[in-house]
Amino acid sequence: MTLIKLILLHSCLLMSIHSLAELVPVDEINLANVSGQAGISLDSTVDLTIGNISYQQRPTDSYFMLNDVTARYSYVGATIDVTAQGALRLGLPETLHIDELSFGLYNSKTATIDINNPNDIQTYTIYADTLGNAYDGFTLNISGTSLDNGSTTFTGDYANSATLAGNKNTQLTIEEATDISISLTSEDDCSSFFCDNAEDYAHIVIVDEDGNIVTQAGQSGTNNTNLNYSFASPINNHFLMSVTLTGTFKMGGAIEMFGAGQVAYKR
Amino acid sequence: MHYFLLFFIISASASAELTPINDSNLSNVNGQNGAAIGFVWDNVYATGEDIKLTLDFDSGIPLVFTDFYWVGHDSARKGDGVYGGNVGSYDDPFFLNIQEESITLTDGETITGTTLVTAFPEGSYKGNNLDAGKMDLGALMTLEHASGNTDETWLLFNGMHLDGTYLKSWAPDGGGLAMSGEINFHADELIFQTATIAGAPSNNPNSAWQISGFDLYLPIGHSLYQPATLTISEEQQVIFEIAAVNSNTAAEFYAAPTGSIRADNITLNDWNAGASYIEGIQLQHLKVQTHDLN
Repeated sequence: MTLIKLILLHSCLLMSIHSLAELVPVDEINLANVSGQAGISLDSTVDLTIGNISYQQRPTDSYFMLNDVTARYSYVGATIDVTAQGALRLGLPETLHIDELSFGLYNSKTATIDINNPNDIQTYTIYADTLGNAYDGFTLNISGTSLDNGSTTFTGDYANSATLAGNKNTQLTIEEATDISISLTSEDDCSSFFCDNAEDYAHIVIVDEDGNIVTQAGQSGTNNTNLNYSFASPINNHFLMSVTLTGTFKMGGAIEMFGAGQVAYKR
Repeated sequence: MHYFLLFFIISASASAELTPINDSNLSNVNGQNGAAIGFVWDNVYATGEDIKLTLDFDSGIPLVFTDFYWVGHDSARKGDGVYGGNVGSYDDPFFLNIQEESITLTDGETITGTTLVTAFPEGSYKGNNLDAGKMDLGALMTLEHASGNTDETWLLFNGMHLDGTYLKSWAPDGGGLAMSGEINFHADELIFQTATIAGAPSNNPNSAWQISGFDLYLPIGHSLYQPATLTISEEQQVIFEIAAVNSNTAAEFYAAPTGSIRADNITLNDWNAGASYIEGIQLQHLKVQTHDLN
């Protein structure tokens, strides 16, 4: 027997064996051991927090915000696979257990907020004084459309339409308010002829809590001085709603994702 | 022989006639741009067990949902008999797409823009059998009063689908985010039922407010020329606005389909109120603004 005949005979024997080999179906138990070969099975435990997610429509607008997002959940039985049609098939988990999914909805003037200090309390001190020979003091009128609407809170030793003697001051603390416009008038209370030249200056100064002069008017040599100033609302954020979800969901089915080409639709 | 067969195949391909699309077919494919990403829901369901969804408006009475299911139409609500529902198909999927659009207004001005489209399947637009896409959605709403009493109400949407619903968004010239879309919502039954049996809706039909054959079709704004916007103003107020129609956009606006709300039958306990239809809804201008958030 030549070498070539030997090789051919050997090949025929091998082929015969393969041809007769019986295809034994894989039973459920064995199949369970290899189920991961078709796609990927996923179980997961997630503990996620996000400080805030904010959206601003335009640069001058305030922010719509999801604050303190907490997601603590676990799931079992999710799958990822590719179908015969070429779609990515995302199998929903059999069980989704949510320990906590929560967030707060706010609107805010800033992209980040401190929910424990929603109001940026601002303290202003208003000085109304004379820099000359005060005769009978000044009247300080504080007025503004937001002062008496109930949603504004002021504290301090100021008094509306208070009469302040010379070189006196009053303190204005804005704790909760919409935007405020105030009008301050420092007027000479002396109406006699002899008073007119008795006081050299009327002076109004607004100083912030850091001691910086915010604005001032007066010292012009006139007896009476008017000052109008607008305070921005100190409120940084406003709570709208909190959302909290706990519990377990039993789920099934799958979502398939694929390139849909150019979708035709009549809209 | 093989060469002859190959030549025949090539010849056949080369001689394939390019048939022009007629106007009728072309009208069905406006808005096709870019490569869309399609999604298909295949036998999807979710049922809640011991869930609690709390919406707290800081009013002292939170709105609480303590049960939930989203299953295939007429499926069991819980347990082994649950089966899912299907949304879309490979030919008519839920999809995301980016497309170029343009529109010429009455004064001749042409507005062009790129829109992001998110759309449910067209479904009824193509005359398909919608039963396969219907699902049942239920949620048990609980109101816990300060007095300690509790009201429970099942909100049941049987045989519902959103086929034809879509949302477009784009960046308008003035900045921000503009939107438009259509809501197409159908439900075989809408039921608001006082919960008399904990954990499951009552089978007593006389304890519910029921609307059969409910259809809502509502255009919200129109792409490029009538944007809808959601804004938190500088004063921290929430503003939702659909831009006003003007003389320059009126022709397009009034040529567009109008909205409708249809209820084939309304019952309240034993009282049958009959059918009710609201047709020809057009939102020429809408502005909703809060005033008390500060």
